[in-house]
Amino acid sequence: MLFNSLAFLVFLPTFLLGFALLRGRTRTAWTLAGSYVFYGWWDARFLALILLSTLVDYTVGRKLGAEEDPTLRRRWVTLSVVTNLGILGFFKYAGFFSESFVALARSVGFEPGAFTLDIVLPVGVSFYTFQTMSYTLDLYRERIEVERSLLRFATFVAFFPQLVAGPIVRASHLLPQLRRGPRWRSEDLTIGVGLILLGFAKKVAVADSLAPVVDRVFAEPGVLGGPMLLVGVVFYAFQIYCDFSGYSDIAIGLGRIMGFHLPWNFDRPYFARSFSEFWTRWHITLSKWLRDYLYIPLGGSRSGRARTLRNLMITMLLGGLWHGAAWTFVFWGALHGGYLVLQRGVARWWELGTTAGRIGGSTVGGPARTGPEGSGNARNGFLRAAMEMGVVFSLTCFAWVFFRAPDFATAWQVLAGIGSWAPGSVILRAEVAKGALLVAGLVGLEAMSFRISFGRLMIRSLATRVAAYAALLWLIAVAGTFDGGQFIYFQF
Amino acid sequence: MTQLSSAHAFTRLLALVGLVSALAFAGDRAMAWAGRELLLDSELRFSRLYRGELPARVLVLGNSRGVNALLAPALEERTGRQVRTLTWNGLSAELAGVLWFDWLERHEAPEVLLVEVSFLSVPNHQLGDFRPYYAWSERLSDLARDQAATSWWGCRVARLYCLNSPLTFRAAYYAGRSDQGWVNRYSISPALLAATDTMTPEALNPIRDHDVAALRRVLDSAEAAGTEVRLLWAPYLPAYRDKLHDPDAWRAEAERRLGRPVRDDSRTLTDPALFSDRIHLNDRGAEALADTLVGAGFVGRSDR
Repeated sequence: MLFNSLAFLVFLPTFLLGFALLRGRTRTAWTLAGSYVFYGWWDARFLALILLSTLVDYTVGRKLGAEEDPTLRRRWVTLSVVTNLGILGFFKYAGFFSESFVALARSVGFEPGAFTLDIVLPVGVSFYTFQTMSYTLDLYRERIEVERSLLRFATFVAFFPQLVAGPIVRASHLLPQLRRGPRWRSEDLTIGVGLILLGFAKKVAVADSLAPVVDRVFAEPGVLGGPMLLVGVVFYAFQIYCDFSGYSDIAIGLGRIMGFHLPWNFDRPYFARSFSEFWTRWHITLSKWLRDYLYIPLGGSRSGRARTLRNLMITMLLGGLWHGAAWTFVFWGALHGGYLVLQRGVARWWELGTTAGRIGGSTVGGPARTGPEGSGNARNGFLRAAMEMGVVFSLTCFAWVFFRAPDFATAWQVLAGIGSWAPGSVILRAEVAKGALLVAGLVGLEAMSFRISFGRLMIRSLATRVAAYAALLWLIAVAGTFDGGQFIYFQF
Repeated sequence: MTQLSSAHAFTRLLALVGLVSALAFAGDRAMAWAGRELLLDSELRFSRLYRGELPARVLVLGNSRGVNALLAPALEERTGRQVRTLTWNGLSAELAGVLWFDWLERHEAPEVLLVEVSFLSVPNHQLGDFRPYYAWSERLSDLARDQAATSWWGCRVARLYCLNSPLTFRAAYYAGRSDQGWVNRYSISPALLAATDTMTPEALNPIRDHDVAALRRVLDSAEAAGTEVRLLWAPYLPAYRDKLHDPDAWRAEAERRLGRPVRDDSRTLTDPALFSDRIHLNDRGAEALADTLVGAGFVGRSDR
């Protein structure tokens, strides 16, 4: 079920009514049932997979809780990892690897028999497998308690607000909240409603309005001029940001209304002044997951320079592959890995004051910078910050080309077109004007938010929040695109 | 911060939603009303149409091929007649019919109705974009209710949604300046030109029954009002025309089904520099076509 669908408009009030009236275990059961309805709406067969993942990790969790023998504990956790990565590997990557194998065989002169794997990718599988794996991995490291209630554990795995596109919630974060039950402070509802409206505005008004221009640019890069291609690439940077962060905002907002706190997933990423900072602002829960369950176990930055760089590259390559089963995603990950490695090389020279080895807010090397304010002389600080942001944003956009393009040929065509700056057809002028206005508005508001706490303003004054929320509704009405467009991250 | 009970929390939620909805509703109505009035003040062709301030001795209808081939100022300069255009990108003949009858209700019939016929094979995809004008035209609103129901219902729920259209941006852009000279002002890119030579042949979209019926109604009503009707088929990039499957059959079918001659200009211009892409002329192409049409007496000079 899509958040931006008529079905969800009926589902949500019905679900919330039951949620408000019920108590204790019945309320948890209602939440689980609602989550399964929400997820099964796409395809009821997908429920079998989520049930399998739930049952395996619940059982492994109970065993890990009872078992003290390190060898057996290792076996149990291996079972969990193999099951989850097996599900992910089969449903997401089997086709990719088989096609890559065929292509490789052909390139060296072998002609393998023609075969294709037509496997449907279950929505959100990348998210919930990582989420449920975090439970068994943390149990194995004895960082959390065993969850004895299957009902509660199943609700943690399938919690519908963030099930299909994050934030990726750790067991240590959500399970304690499910145990103690929902709690509402007066500002939770204000923040919840505000985030839901903000998320919808980002998705429907901004992301979906940029989509037609982006789609045309990547569909026919050969006929468009350099400036138009550049507009398409920059629009894509904001489309994917608003699409994905919009989903996260709605998820976090729904969580708040239900009395649960979900972690933030985005924090004005295009204001990042370094790539390490970018990854503390973009898809924060994935960055932290990769840091804690991949980068640090690989050795992190503790085993010398060469190993640190290797660990960074491995983490980012696998991060790229997590996004999609295609070499373009791997290349996107490699680019970001390369940026982080490069940054380590120039950081001292440029006095960035940040450490390239930081992934997802690791404390290695001190805190990330926040926002456009620089240090020292205000003017120089501003110019320096603007320059750093410009470089990070440009290189991020360069990488987005490979993320969005269906293949390398299209990506190079887009980049070559921009590089040549050749004139060509101008398309969708009104849509470009609308997109530019929306992007400018968004960037302006985000820049202001470094100085003004909009959230605090909303909480303090009823009149302000009612006016602000009505304004978001007006924005959705006057600028929204209502073609039922899927959220981009569903495909991951 | 205060901890709330479940009942208290959801009562507060309902109150907040109620307050926001009330303000959103009132603001929607007020702002949409103001926006619609501003939109109607624009010099965009459709705003002028519905204000009744787009009089013409020669009126032009067509889709984007008409926009870029039959440039009103170029024709006006050469004929000495007041030429106005209602052409629009993606306009179907059916939608053009609605605009024609709305125009005719508000203006005196023109001396000549000039029609570029490519829109006989265009579906009504642009109907939703015309929602800013639903309020001013019962015909438009009725057609939208039938064929663009989401757009039509959206306008019922939120009036601001009616302003949510590329036409609103166009209207804002043309506030205080005429849009009659709007045309592509660039030449086809070398890349597209090269790609055209190697493209696989393709067919023109088939002529739609709805569009034929609608255009026939337009032509009949024009002739009944004493208006001369002129139909033409605008130029294609020659290399592209050569790749079309039997284009002459398309024109012959249009002629047959409309019961009137359609002037074939599809190969009148051959210089690629006069085109902005494969199917559209640019400003220089439109000027060249105007010379040809006036020179051939297809659109006569003023005798007044």
